[in-house]
Amino acid sequence: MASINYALKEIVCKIVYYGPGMCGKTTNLQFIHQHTQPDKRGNMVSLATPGERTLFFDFLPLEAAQVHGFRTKFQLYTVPGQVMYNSTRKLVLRGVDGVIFVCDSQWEKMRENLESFRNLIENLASYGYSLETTPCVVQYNKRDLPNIAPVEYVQYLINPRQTPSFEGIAIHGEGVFESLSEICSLVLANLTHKQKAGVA
Amino acid sequence: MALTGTFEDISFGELLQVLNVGHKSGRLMVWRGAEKADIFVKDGEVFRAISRRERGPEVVYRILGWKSGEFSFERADGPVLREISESTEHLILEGMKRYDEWEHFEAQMPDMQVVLRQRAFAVNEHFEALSLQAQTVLRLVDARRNVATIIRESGIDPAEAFKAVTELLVEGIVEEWTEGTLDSEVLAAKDRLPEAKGAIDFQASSYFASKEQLTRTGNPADAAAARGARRSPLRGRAG
Repeated sequence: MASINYALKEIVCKIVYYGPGMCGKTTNLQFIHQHTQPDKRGNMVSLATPGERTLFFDFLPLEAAQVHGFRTKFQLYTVPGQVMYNSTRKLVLRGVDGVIFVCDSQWEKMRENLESFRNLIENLASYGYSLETTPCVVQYNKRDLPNIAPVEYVQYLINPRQTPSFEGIAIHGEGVFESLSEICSLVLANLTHKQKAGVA
Repeated sequence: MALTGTFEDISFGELLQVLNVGHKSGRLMVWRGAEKADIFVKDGEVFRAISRRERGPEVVYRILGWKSGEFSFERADGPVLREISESTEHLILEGMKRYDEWEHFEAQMPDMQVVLRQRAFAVNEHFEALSLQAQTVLRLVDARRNVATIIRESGIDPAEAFKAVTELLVEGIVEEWTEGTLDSEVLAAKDRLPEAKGAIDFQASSYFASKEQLTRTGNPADAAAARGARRSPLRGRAG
């Protein structure tokens, strides 16, 4: 549900990076932040959770092309992955336009990936959204580690809908911009589609 | 006309998001029973938050935890003195984070009426590593006192004592003893009860006390653990 500001002639789309704790959501955002022109992006805000494990909230508007005279802006968010932060995750998902689900490719993280994915579906449902209507891109992260499951297996578990997916090594930036540009074009296409249908 | 409603219909966090996304300006009044707060919003950003007891971000964080209550928003375009420098997004997410952490803590919290007992083996293993507060509190855990009594007699700040009790429970050093009812002696003695002797007293009295509890509950695994616990200090002394 992109917010349209007529006064500023601006369309703001919200992209949420979702996934289990320590899967690389924040690493994705940090890489994007470091590799975009300073005048095209806002400040990154981060809040630390105890145990110094993850930065948990990042906010980064990226400006893109104009649509019908309106500037489009993307706000990128991550959610805290640890199980206990569910109210926070739910609130971050409110008004989401697109989701990038980052999963940790290591074998021992498959359970957490699946739990997080189910949690995403549940939280989307609480707002009446679903993955049928909300664009989603899956990133199979940490492909450089030794103990990883084959992409086909992760796909079988997490991505039965076969939404666009990318292999990633977020720490080196691999797959980061690929996932982002894919979700941005899906979101814009979805927006145009809705506009034609008279929903937005 | 004012925008009014209840937090059952739209949570405070969602309401702030709506005002934020819509770049609204005005005064948001919220109340729950006798508690009241005023939040001044300018272009969707929270500039000032005031309740009877406090002002600033803390007010926003507190209200984010409300599950009930009512609100009324009146549009106003006048200038507002800015007292809160954090962005509204930041306030909402920090507040929700605290709320989640509190819920998590609350779920682990013991019932004030429940009687606690020590797990002798764990006590011997971990006593040295415990915080000072936890050690103090632990001395009062004697299978007769309940959480409320332990906190009252510990002489520590109640919130700190409560944290210490929770820490001991989470670490598995003490456990709820469901068969224990508050000892009539404790009830009668109120604050005059002598200091409890727990299993950390290696000089045996507490060991026998805990052994007695174990035989009463009849859990052989616990009894074995208690036996192990008794041997270890002796070995320590011999070496």
